[in-house]
Amino acid sequence: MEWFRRFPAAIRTAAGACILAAALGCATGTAFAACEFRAGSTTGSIAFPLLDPVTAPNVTAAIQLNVRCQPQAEFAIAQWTWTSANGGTSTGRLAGGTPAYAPGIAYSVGIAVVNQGPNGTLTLTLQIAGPNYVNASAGSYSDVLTLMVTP
Amino acid sequence: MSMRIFKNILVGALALLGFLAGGAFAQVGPTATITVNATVNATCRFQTITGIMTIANSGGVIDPALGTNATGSIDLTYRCTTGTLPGFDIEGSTTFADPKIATVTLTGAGNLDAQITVAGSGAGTGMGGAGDKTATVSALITAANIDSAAVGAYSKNVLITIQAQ
Repeated sequence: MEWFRRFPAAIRTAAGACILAAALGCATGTAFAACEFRAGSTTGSIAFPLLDPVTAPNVTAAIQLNVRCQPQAEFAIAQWTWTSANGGTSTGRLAGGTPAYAPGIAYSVGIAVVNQGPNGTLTLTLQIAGPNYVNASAGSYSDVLTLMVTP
Repeated sequence: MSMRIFKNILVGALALLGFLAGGAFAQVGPTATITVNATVNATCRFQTITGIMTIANSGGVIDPALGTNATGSIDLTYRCTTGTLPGFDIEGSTTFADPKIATVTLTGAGNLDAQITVAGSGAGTGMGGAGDKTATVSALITAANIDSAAVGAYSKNVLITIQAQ
């Protein structure tokens, strides 16, 4: 190892990091959670069209999230769960309005999965039924949806 | 491997772990957080869109001999988004208010000025069936105007508009 000592300390440190990175790469390859949201898909936002309580049509909004499952081509998304910060696990609920609209605006959550392995997509479709906002206060509403994919 | 080399590797490893914990692993994971936004439009609408108001001071007519004002009123139903105040406009003045007062001229046997007032019953309680509110439209023709009016019928179609304030 005498040759290694001839390199400057900074280079030796970087080399150490690279060696460990390679080792970690192997370790995380086998212990990797089977499905996960890809970079850029762990956060997002959805905005419904302006809600007009006069005509009160059903309104929808959607977002597509990229998911990868490993090992490639063997795993599909088996299960997903979601939680609404203002609602629960079966109904989403938007909070807000001026004055605050106590019931909130309930919305449904639909999830469709396409593909498997490293290129899966999970499309989240939200819908507000017209009767759910016909008596709502004017103003802005919001909620936070937390999604989890398994395995 | 000497202690010095081992230290170099250890420092590099710690730096790498710090990088991974601080950034690389934070961008992927089994959980995604989605912010959901919506905006409810503030709006008002008349539910009653036509009506006939009679202005009189005696039994459905205007009697100049009484020397009193002639009045009339009619109720219109409106709805507004919950918490939204209505504003009214008369004859396209583009200035909305509650109450709104304007003078219009009835025509027929001659011209007869009347003061029209539109007053709502408060902020909306929703556009659903339980959200009906009342806008009272009232009219006043002063006795002074009646004194000089010619005998005959007078009328005027008055356009009243509502919008959210």
